[in-house]
Amino acid sequence: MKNEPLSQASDRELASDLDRGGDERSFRALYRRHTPRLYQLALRLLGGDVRDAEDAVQETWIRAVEGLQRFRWEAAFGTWLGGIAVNVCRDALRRRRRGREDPWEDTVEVAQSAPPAGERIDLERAIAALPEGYRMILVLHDIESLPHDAIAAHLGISAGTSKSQLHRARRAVRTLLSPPDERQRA
Amino acid sequence: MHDDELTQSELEALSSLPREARPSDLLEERTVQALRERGWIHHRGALPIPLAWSAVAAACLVFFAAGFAIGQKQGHVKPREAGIATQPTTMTGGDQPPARDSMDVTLARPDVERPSGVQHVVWF
Repeated sequence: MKNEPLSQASDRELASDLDRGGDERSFRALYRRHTPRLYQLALRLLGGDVRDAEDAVQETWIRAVEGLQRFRWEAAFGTWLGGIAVNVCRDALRRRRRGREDPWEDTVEVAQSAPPAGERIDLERAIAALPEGYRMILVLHDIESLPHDAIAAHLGISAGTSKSQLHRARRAVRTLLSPPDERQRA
Repeated sequence: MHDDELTQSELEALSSLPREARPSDLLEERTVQALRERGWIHHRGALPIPLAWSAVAAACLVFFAAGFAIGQKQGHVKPREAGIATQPTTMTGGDQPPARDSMDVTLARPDVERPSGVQHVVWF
């Protein structure tokens, strides 16, 4: 990279400097550019747990730097990082739910993580209150705008399962956002 | 409206959610430290590992060459300059090597005065 400020350098230039010589300043520039988005994604996927989300962001960067030589630049660097973050969060959720039932099963009840009756909540809290499987698919589809086949590939499920889970997730969010008396009836 | 479709207000609510959030500043340092420990990044201003090894190798080479040159210079003092008489290497007869006591052992004999500047001469 020539003598241009790091903040103006492209992702590819910074990544090249990082990959070639382990340049710390290039890494920090990439980190500051992409971490806010990664952190918000991890925070949502992990249900608002700050500590888990920070661990996930750190692990995402470690995996990204280790795998930088394999990245072919056919997608945007941020998109690639987002994919790694989804995998890291999926692994974290897997560890969290060891011993618990499969989140992709239809038997998962929204009521398990719903806020106390009588409390009306906003959309962000409603998403955080969803069961993990529902939450992942709703965040990836309705917020991150990923198509069902990409979600299915990330989560190791079929596109059909992704669609049906999204349907249930949306219904669950509507229930959580409805007035408490309606929620109880639902 | 189909149950699976999002309403306009739902779409607006979803699109109004923040896309970015700022983690603690400690996370950056923690991540940098983790990458340093794995050898993926290096301190600001520090040489990358291949360059550092090259520098060490070059320093070793210079050190060796300097030592060799000094050693050559000091070991090259002519015996005559040091006042040492050249030892005769003539054979006592035929191709047989000379008996030790037939050689000129002037310098090793305590009754012979040693040339100045020569303190110890040892024969093996």
